[in-house]
Amino acid sequence: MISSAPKEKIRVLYLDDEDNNLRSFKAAFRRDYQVYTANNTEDAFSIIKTQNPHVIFSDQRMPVTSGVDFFNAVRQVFPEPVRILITGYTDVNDIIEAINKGNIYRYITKPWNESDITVAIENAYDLYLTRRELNDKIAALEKANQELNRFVYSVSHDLRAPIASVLGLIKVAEIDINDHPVAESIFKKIDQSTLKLDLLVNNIIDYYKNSKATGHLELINVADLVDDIIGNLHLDATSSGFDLEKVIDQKANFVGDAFRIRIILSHLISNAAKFKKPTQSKAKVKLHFEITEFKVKIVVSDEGMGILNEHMEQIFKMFFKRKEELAGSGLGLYIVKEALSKMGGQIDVKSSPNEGSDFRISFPNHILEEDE
Amino acid sequence: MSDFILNKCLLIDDTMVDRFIHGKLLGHYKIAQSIDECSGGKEALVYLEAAIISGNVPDLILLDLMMPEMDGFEFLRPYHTLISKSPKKPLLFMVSSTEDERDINRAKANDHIIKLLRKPLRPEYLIDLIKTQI
Repeated sequence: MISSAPKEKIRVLYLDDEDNNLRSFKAAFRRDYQVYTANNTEDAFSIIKTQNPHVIFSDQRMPVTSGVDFFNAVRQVFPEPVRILITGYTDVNDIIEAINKGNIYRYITKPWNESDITVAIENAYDLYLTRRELNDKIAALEKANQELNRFVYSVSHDLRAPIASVLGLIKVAEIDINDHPVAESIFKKIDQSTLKLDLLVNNIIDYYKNSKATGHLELINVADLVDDIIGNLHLDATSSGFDLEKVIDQKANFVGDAFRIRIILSHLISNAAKFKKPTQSKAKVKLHFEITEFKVKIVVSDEGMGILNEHMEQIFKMFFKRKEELAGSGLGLYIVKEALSKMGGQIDVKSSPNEGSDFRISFPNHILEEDE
Repeated sequence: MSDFILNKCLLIDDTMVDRFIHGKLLGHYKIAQSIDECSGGKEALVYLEAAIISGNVPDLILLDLMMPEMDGFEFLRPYHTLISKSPKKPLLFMVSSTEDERDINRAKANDHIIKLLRKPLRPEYLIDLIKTQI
């Protein structure tokens, strides 16, 4: 906390129907605090409204309204001031109820002495400041979050738009290059580099979308889902094409978070298509779905280059990459793992170098909880 | 290469480079014989109004999503009224570099848009889609 700023005088309101009590309270504390007093709830409310007290004391036994009822009403409209009840021992049940309902912060028994009240005021004020600080921080976080939202939206367009233009221009240039092998190979390299950049941008967007999405459940048609994913795969993965085989063993409806499942499968299929052996002209990707009432298991397997043993531990880490040319953004499998953990799912890999990899994922089937 | 050829295509895009790319690809893949360009929604509405009167409505429209002043979706509101007066309805695709689900869902829900295509345009894919429409 900043202590160099001149300390703000703590504003205290005291409500009691007996004017004598008000007078002695004021006399005792006017030097150290800004004290306001009221002998009825109407005046008390107007003081709260205009003076913004930090701490409010109220007597419990008053002719029209009890202190507990008064605080309950205050809390609805002015939640910030810290509320302290002053009461005799006889009102125990009322006090317990008021504390349990959160209407009051603490109580002080009559007759009060000065030091009890001073301690109560100081503690209450600390609480007031802490709460205010917390609220400020929450507001700042909400604002930052909103800005991040807008930022990601503009990145998703502003960054992708020129990349897409470059990729388009390369396509157009390749039409017009006739028999110029050097130029052709240079354009191919520009194309590859730009695709990598595009992939990175896409993955950052995916990562962000995954962290934001609410997990809307819907009925999923596996064949449609796979077609949709294949149709939208990143060009980086589809450049040399691949053979796809899918087996669907479906014993129950499939209800799940289609948005995340799409993210997960598109990354796994992309990888399977991309990391083929140099001897393969086309990658072979196999999808196996097993859907039961409670669980969905999907295996994405390939006969590609496989994963080195020493890399197995690291593949799900953020920014882990293979060293060779094919390396992606280092985000793909990290996003897969994050998305699965949001769905309460698991992933497990079996792989041997030069024989291929099997990525097995499983997650709950939400067959009974469909939203719509 | 396409095994059909459309008469006329209209490109609506504020990015000159993208109009150039799309024009070039549509020509090379023999998708459209002639290509007209507008750099914004308002210009395109004026163009279409004249085209309807002269009976020269394009067969194909590629509409960009993100444009200043009037974006693709905003364009489609007056377009709806305008094109209802025309006996000929162009095939309309939205093209964009967007990755935003909201845009994708909005495009799916709009009756005028056959499909939202990602930039860079894949001419082979566009050809397949046009074939299902003609």
